Amino acid sequence: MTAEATAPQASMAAERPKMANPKIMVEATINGVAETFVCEPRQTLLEVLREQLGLTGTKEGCGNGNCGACCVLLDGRPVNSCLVLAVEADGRDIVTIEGLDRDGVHPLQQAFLEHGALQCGICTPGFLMSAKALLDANPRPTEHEVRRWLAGNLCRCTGYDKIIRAVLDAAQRLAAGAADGQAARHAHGQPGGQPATEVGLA
Amino acid sequence: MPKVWVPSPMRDVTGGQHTLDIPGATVREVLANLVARHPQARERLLQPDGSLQPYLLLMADGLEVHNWDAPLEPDSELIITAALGGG
Amino acid sequence: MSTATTPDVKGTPLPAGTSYRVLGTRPVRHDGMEKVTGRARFGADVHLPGMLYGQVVRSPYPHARIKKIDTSRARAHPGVRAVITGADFPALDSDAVKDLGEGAIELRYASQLIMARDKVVFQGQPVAAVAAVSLQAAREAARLVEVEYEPLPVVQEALAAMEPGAPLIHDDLYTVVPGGAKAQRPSNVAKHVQHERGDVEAGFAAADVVVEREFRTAMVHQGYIEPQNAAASWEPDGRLTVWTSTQGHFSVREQLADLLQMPVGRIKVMPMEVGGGFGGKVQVYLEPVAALLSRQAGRPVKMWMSRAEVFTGTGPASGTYIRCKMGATKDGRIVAAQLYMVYDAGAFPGSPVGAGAVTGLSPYRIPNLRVDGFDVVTNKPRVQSYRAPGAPQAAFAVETVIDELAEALGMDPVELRLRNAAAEGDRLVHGVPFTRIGFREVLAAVRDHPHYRAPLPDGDGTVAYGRGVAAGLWIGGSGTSTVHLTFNPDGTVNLIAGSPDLSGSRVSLAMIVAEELGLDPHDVRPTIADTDTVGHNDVTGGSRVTYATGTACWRAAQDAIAQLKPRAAQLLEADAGAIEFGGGEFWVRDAPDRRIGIKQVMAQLKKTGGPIVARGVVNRLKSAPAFGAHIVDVRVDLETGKVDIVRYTAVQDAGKAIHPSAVEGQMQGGATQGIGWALFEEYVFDQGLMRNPTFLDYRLPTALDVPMIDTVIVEVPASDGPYGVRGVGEVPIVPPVAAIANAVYRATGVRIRELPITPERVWRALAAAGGPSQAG
Repeated sequence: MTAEATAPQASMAAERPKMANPKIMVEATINGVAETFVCEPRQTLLEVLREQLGLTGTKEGCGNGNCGACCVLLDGRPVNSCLVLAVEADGRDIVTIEGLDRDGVHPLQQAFLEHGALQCGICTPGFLMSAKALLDANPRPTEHEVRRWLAGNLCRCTGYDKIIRAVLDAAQRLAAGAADGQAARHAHGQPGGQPATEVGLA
Repeated sequence: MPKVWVPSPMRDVTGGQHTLDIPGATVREVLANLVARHPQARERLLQPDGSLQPYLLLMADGLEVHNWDAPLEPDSELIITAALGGG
Repeated sequence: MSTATTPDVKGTPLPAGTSYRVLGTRPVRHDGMEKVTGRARFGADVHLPGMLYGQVVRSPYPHARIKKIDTSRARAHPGVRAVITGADFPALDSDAVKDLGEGAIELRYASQLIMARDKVVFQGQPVAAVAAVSLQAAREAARLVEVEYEPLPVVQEALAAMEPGAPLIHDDLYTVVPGGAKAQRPSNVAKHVQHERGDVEAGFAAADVVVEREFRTAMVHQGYIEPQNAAASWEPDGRLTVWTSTQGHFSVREQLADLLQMPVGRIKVMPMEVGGGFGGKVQVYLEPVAALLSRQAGRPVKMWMSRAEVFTGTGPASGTYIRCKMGATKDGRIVAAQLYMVYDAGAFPGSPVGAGAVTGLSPYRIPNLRVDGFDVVTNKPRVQSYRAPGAPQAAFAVETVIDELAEALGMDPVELRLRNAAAEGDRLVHGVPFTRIGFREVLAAVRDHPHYRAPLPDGDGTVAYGRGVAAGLWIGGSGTSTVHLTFNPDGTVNLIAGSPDLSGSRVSLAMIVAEELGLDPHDVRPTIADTDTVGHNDVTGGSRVTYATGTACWRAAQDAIAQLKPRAAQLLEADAGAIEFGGGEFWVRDAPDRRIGIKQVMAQLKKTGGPIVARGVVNRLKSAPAFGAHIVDVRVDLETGKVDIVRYTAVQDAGKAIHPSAVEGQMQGGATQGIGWALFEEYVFDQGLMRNPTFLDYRLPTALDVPMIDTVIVEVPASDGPYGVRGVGEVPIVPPVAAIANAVYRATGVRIRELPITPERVWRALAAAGGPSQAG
């Protein structure tokens, strides 16, 4: 049934919610690109990223800040985008999973692949963004520090073991790359690469 | 001849027996001979249209029975049991 | 299409001294890159032209009659394009049973589960749905649907529901006793399964030690991070296309056909990536709702659930009450066992009590036993399968009682299990004989593992340490699978499969094809095809994909080799019957120097007779039961009762680990779900209302709650299927609960027999036992 087919009755018009909720124009830098979008004040950043801007790599797992699947970087800080209103992004810098490494594959992504640190993959973007923020703040975390930082990201498939190993391994790679001053970050692993169990823990 | 295992709650109509030696060259024949010998077993096993009651499972020699006309060996085991209903 | 018959395979492990080229390696999974870059398309990522957003209106009452539904205000909302209620669904009064492939449900109940008719039987049951031009408009409109309810008495607990005189939830429900007589009066007991062997009373009389205990487990949720979703597009010609994250798109197609009373040939289901299922994404919820909204609106409709909707509106795992009695002789032989098991099905029949009744005692050779299992309805969410459905609850009871028997007998608990462990030929509880199994090998690996003998830290009066072990069984699924292979001129192979990939099964399937064809795993490109594109495949569940779909891949590869041999013969100018194949090359039997690589043959298919399609089909295999056993060390805070997991080792028989990293991941993930089940997770109900429908209050284990999970893969080849492979997904959730409870006992001297093992329960048990000073 279409709205046209339902002739609104006078008695209902008064109760009827207004169709034209006021919209606000927001200007933000998203994955390095200046973007302008229009949204309602009640819309979350998560909803706008996914449903308006087509950035569906950011996932909705709970909608109330408890699972971390929607983690993005807001001015470099990890936030649950389901708890941020889209209008709050005005004038800010946002990085989503699509922009984690605009030049190729980030060492965290490579480590996740090689360690088998994902199963279904729904929590993976949130873990990667959260782990990126960790390594930016603390390039050589201990296992406990990684677990503590990532405690806001829920994974139901892996039991976290391989995720923690992957983050520790990526930290080592990044540190080695920084020491060498070269782009070890773009080294691609070969199929049949090293078993995860050979990677020691810091 | 094939050995038939019946569900525990059916033993009241098979003379208390859990396993029965029932002749037959196919699953269909064995089931027909089983209900001929123990007529009360019919409604326990079969729906009015002759198909298996829901919630029951037929296993012949370790494989779920799809085809009642598949041959059985003289030393075959036909197990009638509650369907697992999950997993 | 070839007419060559594919040979049956038997579980023949490799001869000693040889090794596989691909199996046992750890290639990066094919879908990995798109999943770490956010490009993988899950169901909620679908965006269709003209798409509307759907929203379900749900019952706030756990049990009530629907007196009236007024949708006029919702329809008047300017953004609304469709509104439906139960009246829009076909009436289904049949008592036909729908086998979902993992679980089963009567069709009439399935229809009420997705949309209530004249009464609601659980909080969260859909009563109406709307579709609107935006998500916000849909939410607004949903709030405008007015429903008048007449509340009815709530039956919250299964044991209370079984009482004579309890309010009936369904007046058309009669107890089914498989193999037994028909019930005469309606009841909340939907099913009573019964298995007997030997003479259980005589068995207990002959025992030197008898232990009988009661156990309670809470209703818990699978906890997949991705909420249920569906997008549907009803075309003007009556065809329906559905995009959804599901464990079985063929099952979704069948369910839609049944619920909407339309032929399967008019329905196409697109399998999107699945953000976790664990058994919970087989039953349809939103798909038929989105379909009817789309039909009414004439536009595509997308919907997804909030987390609260997932908790209250989908199917968790049964809460249970289990009484377990076991008797053993002084020399450590278990001579009798009895289980009385009550599984809460929620609002409609269909708990996994049947599987629980079989898996509980089957790991052990027990000459005398009796199992009574009851499937009971209550005013709670209707349960669905959850990883090894029914088994963890039963194992909690059995494996705890065995631990108590071992203590009473003064035996090592692993030794007691070894002495009674089932082997090939022993019968499961329902009479079916075990095929080749590796339970004894798993237990021996536990006994010999350094963790099992490692010293525990000393407690200091405020904390205590303890170690527990427990074992678990999953029977293993088979079912139907179809795969096709097509061949590209660049030497790559398309593997067209139809088993949704929940955890990385694409790579394991590709590895089997690569192993057989002598290719690199990344030369094989797996696709999970929609229901129009590949033959039927049962759901991804029951640990069946690597086993059954893997067998289909093996058969397809043999079919490919058979079809490629004549092509190679042409190129080698030899007789087709003289061609051999191995290691990726064809050669002439009597002239081995005349050889050609499979990729070269693929490059020249056009001139040797045209394209080839190879196929592999599996209709059924013998079950390949799998066993695991876990060792866990806990630290218990004696002042607060809090339990921490400090060390964990999981041992499991995988038959043959195709991709060891994937097997380890299954073991680690299953163990962690079991840790959550044991320590944190529970639905908290008050008069049928769930009080904790968020991840804040329903607490999944986080990275801080678990240690690294060490894994030991045992390989005892299965009897059927290639390479001896077994399914591995379900087993690892079976042992953890009992292992942790046993460890808590070893640490504190108190047995917790009700889940979850919260600090409060431990603290109260310690206090009742005389306080921390008396413990451990």
